Amino acid sequence: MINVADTWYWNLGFSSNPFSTKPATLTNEVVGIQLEPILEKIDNGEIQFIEAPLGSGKTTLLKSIIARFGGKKKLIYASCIKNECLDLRGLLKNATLKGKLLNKLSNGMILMVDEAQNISREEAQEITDYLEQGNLKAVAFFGTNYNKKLLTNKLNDSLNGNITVLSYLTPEEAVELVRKRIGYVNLIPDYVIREIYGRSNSNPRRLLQNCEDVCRKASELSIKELTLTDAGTLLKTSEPAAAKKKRAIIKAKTSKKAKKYDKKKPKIKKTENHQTATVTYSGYNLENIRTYEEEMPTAKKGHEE
Amino acid sequence: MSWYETQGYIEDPFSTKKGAFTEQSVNLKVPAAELVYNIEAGNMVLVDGPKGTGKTALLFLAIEKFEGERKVIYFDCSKDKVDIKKLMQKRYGSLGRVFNLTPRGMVLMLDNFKSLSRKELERAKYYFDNNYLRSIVFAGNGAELPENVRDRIGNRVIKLKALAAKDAVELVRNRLGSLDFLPEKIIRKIYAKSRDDAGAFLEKCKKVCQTATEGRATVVSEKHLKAIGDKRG
Repeated sequence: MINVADTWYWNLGFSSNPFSTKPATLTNEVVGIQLEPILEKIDNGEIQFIEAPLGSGKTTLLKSIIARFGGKKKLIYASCIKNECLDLRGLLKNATLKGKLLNKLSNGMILMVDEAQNISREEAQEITDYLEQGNLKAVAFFGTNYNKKLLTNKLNDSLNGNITVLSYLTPEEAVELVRKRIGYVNLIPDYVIREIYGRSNSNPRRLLQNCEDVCRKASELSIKELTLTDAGTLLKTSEPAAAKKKRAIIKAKTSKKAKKYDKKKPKIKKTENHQTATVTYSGYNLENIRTYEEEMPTAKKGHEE
Repeated sequence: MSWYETQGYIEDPFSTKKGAFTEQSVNLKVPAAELVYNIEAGNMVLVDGPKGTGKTALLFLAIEKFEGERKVIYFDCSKDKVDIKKLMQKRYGSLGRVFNLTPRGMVLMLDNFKSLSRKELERAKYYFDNNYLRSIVFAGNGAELPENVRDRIGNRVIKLKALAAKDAVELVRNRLGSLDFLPEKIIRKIYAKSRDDAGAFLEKCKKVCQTATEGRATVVSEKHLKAIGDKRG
């Protein structure tokens, strides 16, 4: 048996990893997403598509919605797998005990489709048919990208632009997410969380993983309160080799570009009334750039108009 | 009487059976600690590395740490078709199947996951997301995992390196107890013919030792390397 007491989170007073990336480890964890409009659309029997990149909280959101309908036998969850057919008929039949016993499909069900980017035309057609027959009342697709071609014309018409794109968390929301998990501990101050979030490509899942790595390493080094430098150093050491390589390439590219820009200093010509600068940066030719004082009134005016 | 019994061993010291001599493994102490932490912390982990680097040995080292908890499911996907639902329900025996009971907080170790179907992979992901599985450990080539699973794994990848010559010597020392019968020079020669594969290396060591024992030699010499196709031997 392993000794949990050796882990960093045990030392902080947690019995399990507070930065677990399992969706909705804690209840009511949805941060930065307006849940009510989505629930309202479901109640109104609408069809909607929730689009977000990987690790941004789609499954967490889905689980929160499922929790709202818990125990009512009104909701079916299905996950689309490439090249494998969704057994929608079986799901509708087994949704209620009555359906199971009488071999009858349930009516007025809500369908939640996870990994909807993998949906096939046949599956989309099946969903359309069940919607028409009244077996399904509302459908919510969750996927990384909405592809019009994969859905049937009827489904696309019913969707009618009902696409919710989950936006990235703001740094403050990222802090809120981490605080919901770990509380107000001295080890990781808010500004360090913001820094880690920036280094996590604004991805919540990556943020939690990086927070775990940083806290674990800090605990090993007996650091009581993390600083920005500590976080930077610890994150660099926990980076996998491929990510390190990628970062190095990006850094090399940006420094090359910066050097290129430094070499091309803007030529400034002085005229009678105003300054005119001709700036050429790799193909862009911006002429007649006026000084700030002269440009401001016109810009303001234009904005007012 | 087998060669190892003649040499005074109760069991084959070069056995490549799963879980055999895991405590004598070389270079697996740090990866094992990392793996055990990640399992305990409830992460999805990938054990990556070429053939013969000790992926299975690492899994067995971790299993030993959870001994007695009845929480670990190990499955070699290359041997049989996996049905994760059935595997989970086996935890409660026939009762589990009858009453459709699914245990919670299990650890699933999928060795050679390349043979795992996409459907089962999604099912494993579902069980993980819903806390039936506390942790999933994939052993194999990470490039074969779908994007959504790779994203969940993130940087929880334990990369195993191929066995180096000095590690090979240490491995044999650990298995035999000393290098009196199989000298270091010979081990290095056997290692050179094994192409970094620990399994193949142990098999070759076994063959050479067997030949030497049958020839009533007290020490393995270069002439015994003929057994593994060494022309110079």
